[in-house]
Amino acid sequence: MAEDKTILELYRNGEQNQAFNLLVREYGEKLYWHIRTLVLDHDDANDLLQNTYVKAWNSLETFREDAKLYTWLYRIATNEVFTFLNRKKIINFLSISRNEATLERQLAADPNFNGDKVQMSIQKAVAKLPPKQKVVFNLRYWQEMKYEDMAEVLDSSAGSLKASYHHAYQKVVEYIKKDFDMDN
Amino acid sequence: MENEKDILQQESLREMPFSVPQGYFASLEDNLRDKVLAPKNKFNIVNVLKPAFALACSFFVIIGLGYGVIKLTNSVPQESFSEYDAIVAQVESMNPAIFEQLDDFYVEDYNASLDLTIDDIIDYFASGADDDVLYQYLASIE
Repeated sequence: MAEDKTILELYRNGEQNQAFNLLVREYGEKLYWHIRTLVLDHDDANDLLQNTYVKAWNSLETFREDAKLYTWLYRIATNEVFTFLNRKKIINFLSISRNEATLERQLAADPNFNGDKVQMSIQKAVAKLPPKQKVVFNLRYWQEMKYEDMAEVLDSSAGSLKASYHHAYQKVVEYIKKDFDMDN
Repeated sequence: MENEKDILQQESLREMPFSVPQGYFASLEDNLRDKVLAPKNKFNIVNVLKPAFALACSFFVIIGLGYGVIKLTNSVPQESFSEYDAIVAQVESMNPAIFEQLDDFYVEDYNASLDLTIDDIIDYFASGADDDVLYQYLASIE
């Protein structure tokens, strides 16, 4: 990507502010949505995006150009999300109210969620997926990321990611089917 | 729900069901720059040693004040002793015999008080003391 080259050139020439602005302008919004679809809450997503940029900026000096800056950033963001979700999982395990109804109530009360019943059902279905399948589903379904890029982000093969997406997709469809059968 | 498998392929569902606070993305660049590029406190030896140096200074100030107070409130100044010694030394150098006599006098007098016997006392009174005094003394020691 031409932008990656420009960002790195600016950074190495000491034009740090310009390099940083371009890094945010180019990837900030995409990274935000990647994080948001995984953690759902805006404030959590904002904090994790900040952490992602702090880590990326502090290690940009050691970035090797054998990977794309874009996939490298997604990789940092995904790791941040995994760490966050693992911590949250422990807290939820210790909490009394941890079920789908809680997630539904949380989304219904969230002023930044404006989805309909089907979209609510998709969110509930995705929340039930194992962490890796969740990331694969979100990257492919919402961000339409190529499997080759996804393989770099998740340090996996494109073939296994295709299979993983297929499983996740099936599970989501099944969940929606059940959810609406129960409603009807 | 005619065909749930197809429902995920609807374009409308691929739109993010989430929104962000107004102006969030417009101010993202500035917000992130403030957080990420904010100057950090770099390691500086002066900053590390500053508290220890301040503590040492406080310690010396307290010790100094304490010493000053003791020095000012001391009722017998050292100088007075040295002045006295100087005067004595000056007198001694002028007439050493006075000091020798004084020493002999005090030493002899002291020794004499220790070596006093009953015979000495009888001799003393016999040499001219009153008989009444002598009898009173003898009555008291019997």
